Amino acid sequence: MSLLNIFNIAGSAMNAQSQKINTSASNLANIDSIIYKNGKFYPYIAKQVILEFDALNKNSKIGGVKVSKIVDDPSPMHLIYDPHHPMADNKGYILKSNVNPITEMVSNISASRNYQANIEVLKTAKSIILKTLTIDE
Amino acid sequence: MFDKINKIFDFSQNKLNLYAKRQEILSSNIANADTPGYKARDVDFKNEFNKILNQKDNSIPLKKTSFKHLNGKNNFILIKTIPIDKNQIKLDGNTVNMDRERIAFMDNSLKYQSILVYMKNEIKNIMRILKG
Repeated sequence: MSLLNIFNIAGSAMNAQSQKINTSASNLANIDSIIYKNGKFYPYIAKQVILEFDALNKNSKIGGVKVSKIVDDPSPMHLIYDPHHPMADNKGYILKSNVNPITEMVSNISASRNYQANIEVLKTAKSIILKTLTIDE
Repeated sequence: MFDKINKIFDFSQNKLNLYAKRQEILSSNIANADTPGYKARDVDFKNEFNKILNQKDNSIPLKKTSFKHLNGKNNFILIKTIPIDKNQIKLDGNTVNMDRERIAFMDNSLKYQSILVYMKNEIKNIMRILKG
């Protein structure tokens, strides 16, 4: 029954969108974070979620969404002059995370709106199925 | 007698199937509103509707899943989907127009429900006759 597939489709979209919200929350929270790796300190690199179409079955042209991968944001780090900072180099500059709060807020809003749209889809599908089940009353 | 009842419901059943399938396609479009490269799809309604109207064979559709099954007429209608041709404005190749999809989704669900009401009345009439 194709109406039941809507639950899978909208559910997968909600899953993917909440992952996006999660990622942008993590980016915003770590805007000042420093990562210690291989004996060196690095600023936190913003993460981006890449969404991918997830077909219902092999040859189907319709389907849900899945998170294909989470990649590092390729935009450059911010170089800020702050000679009193303990991590400043000998010229007085420090590297800061490339998280852009504006981008994060926009992607957060877009993801949450998409999430809501999928909830509406689910609600409609549920009410239609219930009405079909009670057709003989 | 059951053949006649089947005939009464056959048309509505096919239309319900078509609307349910379209609902699924529209939900897929809404779900993929953010997916790069996804092309929005829809059913060619006129074409599919003509397929239902021109269906001559009114026997009960049966699916044969084993060679021991009796021979039924296999007249399930395959519903084709086509990509929507719209000038796209997004850079990532996505062609979903959220406003269109939402309106179509609502419109489609109301049409589905109107057929349900019609079928309900049909069943009520049959019950009235049966009870006398």
